[in-house]
Amino acid sequence: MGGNGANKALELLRSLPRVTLANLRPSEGSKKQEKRRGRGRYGGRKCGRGHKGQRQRGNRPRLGFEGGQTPFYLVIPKYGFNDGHSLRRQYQPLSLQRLQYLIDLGRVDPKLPIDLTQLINGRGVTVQPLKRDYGVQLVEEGADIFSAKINIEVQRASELAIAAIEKNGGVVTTSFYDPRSLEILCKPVVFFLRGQPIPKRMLPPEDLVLYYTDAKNRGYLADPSKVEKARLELAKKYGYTLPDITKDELFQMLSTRKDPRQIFFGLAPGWVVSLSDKKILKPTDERLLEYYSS
Amino acid sequence: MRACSCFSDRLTISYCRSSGPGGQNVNKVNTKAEVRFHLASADWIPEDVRQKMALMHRKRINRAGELIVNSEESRYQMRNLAICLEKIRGLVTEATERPKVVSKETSQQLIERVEKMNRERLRQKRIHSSVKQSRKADFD
Repeated sequence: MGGNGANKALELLRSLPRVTLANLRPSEGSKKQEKRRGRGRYGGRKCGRGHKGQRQRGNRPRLGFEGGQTPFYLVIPKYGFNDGHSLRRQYQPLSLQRLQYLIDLGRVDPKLPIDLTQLINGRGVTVQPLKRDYGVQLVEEGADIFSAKINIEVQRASELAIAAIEKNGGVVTTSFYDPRSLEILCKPVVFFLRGQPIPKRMLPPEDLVLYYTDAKNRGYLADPSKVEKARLELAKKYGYTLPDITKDELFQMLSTRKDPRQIFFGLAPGWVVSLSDKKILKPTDERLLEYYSS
Repeated sequence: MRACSCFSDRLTISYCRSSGPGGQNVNKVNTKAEVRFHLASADWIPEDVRQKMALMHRKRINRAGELIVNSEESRYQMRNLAICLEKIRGLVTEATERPKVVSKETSQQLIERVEKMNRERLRQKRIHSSVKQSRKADFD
């Protein structure tokens, strides 16, 4: 029946005249005419302003005014709920359900390591580095449905999310990007057009060092042996057998990690990428090499 | 103990729909996790602990002799399973603990401590009493 409909549609396309402005019309009820004031009968006369008083004369007091009584927004005392809100680090949430959706639709390739750049290229998340966003965090929503083997790198991940990914044979890493590196990571093309050398990624500030050196959070600065132990512990806690990734065909891909000072896979700090010449320029001076490899 | 309790072939795990409010999600999604295992044949628990568990948790054991633990506290199946396993570990640990044997020396020490506390309390009381007495101006 579907095939029949498609054939009929193609026949119509062949026989009917060309689609022009003369043949098109908006659907019934989609465009409602606006009420133009002051043009008689119902749009006119008092023009929707009421009868006399402040309402008709446009002299009503400001929003929140209660006729002289201390208004609600002044009665309630101030409290530091929003103190320093512009200095707080924010992480855009990424649910496992959304990640599964992106992989199923082919917007994110599970055969390559998944990075913040990959997620943004697939329009999976929108990160605004200028609004105190420090990256992406993995959220548990969809943990029961998740079934994809991936190598993903995010900035924060909750325990259940890590368990759900490792149960399917994947790998999670949490790493830190300072705001400048994050901007470069989110919009690489814009950065390359500037012609500046790729800067080195800065190490996390004091309060985050503990987070990223902890194996439980799969931090990028943690000890790999401790990470292995943490994987086993998590498997015991959540009651699944940890699949052996060394025997996997994609083991090479699953074990690729970025250097703590590296922003892009395959590009080292100090290199200049020229998009117009399609070349990469590497520094040769000793001092520069020493600086960028520190 | 931690290493043994996760043989998924020993434990029968089943999922079903949870109870409570939640609309379409609670009606369709299988989030309640139930774990059961035959207590008498569970050789990963020592014999005496098994018997103690059979006594302590009579209500959780069904006619076929299976210990049943279920959890529907979380929205996620995985977390409910983790909670079930944690509960089982708790039950086994509870059954393993022995009554505290207080050694003779320690019980002596405890009695001595209590007596010392009482003596000190009475001494302080006498001092306080003498202070209050010295403030009295009794003109004879």
